[in-house]
Amino acid sequence: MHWASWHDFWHMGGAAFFVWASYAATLALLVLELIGLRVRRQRAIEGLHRWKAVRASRRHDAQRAPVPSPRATDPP
Amino acid sequence: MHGMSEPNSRLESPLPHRQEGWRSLAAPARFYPVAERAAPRFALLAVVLALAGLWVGFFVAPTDAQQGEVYRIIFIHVPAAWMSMFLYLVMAFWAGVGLVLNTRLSFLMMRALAPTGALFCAVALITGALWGKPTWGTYWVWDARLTSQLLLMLLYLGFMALAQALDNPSRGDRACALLALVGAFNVPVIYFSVVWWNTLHQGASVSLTKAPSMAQTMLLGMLLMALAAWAWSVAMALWRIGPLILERERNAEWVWQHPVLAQKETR
Repeated sequence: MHWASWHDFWHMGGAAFFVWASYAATLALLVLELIGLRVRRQRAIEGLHRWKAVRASRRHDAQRAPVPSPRATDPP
Repeated sequence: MHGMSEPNSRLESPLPHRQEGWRSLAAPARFYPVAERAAPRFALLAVVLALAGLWVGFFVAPTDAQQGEVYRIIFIHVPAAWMSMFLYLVMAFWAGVGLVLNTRLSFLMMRALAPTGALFCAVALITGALWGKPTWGTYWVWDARLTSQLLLMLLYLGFMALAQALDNPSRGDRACALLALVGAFNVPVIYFSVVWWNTLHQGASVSLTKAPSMAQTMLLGMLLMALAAWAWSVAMALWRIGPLILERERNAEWVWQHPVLAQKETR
């Protein structure tokens, strides 16, 4: 360990802005990635539930009102 | 009448004996629980490695004779750049596997890797600019290394946009696979740019053929951070592929029997 004090550590020999901005930007992007993962997962689950509900309601509608078959007297 | 394929009524498809072993993981139903279990472990490994790498980088590695303290950006910049290149090659690998073997899980893994690769590419560009200003006097220069790295960023963004834009899954898979394979040629260009051209960016301090030209503690910090970035990438890809699998396999019964969907409430 070679830092004379915590002040020296934060000061980074005068390059404090560049060093800490780099680490902060990296951390921010990583946090954004984690948030994005969570959002994506929730969106997928909700989308799947919606898809299933739509499919079920379509099947329900098809059973309740089936398409009538053509009769002999219907025009072609 | 519904144009859906018959749902797989078995929770776990029993595979013929010859497909047991690691190749059985090509089945999404088999891979999903493995991915869900493994991801947190890789994330924890990444955190531990990063803490070790940062400790070495800030409290063990000495001040640089030429650059002073600003060189410590290296502990993020180089691992991020390495991962951005490596991940694109891995994407291209899974693209090739998917095209040759027609395995949908390969395409899903290709898609799952892209955002993390893009993130590391952005980190490399941003930290590189912040390192360039105090050392070169400029945030940016159109030299071969920086330009080809920026091209990689555009390839990642283009890949993600293409994946998003194409609704037809198999068409999307194939188009993205093509972009991954063609774009992969940029990676060796980035790597050799400092050899083939006169660049402001310095040449390789770490190579596969020569002894490293940097202090051992600096190299150790960098390698620890590189391993951390690798473990992080694995964790993110495994976490990201989960929803992709569920969506792609939504016609399969196992998806709807899985606890993640069986519970209707989402937090």
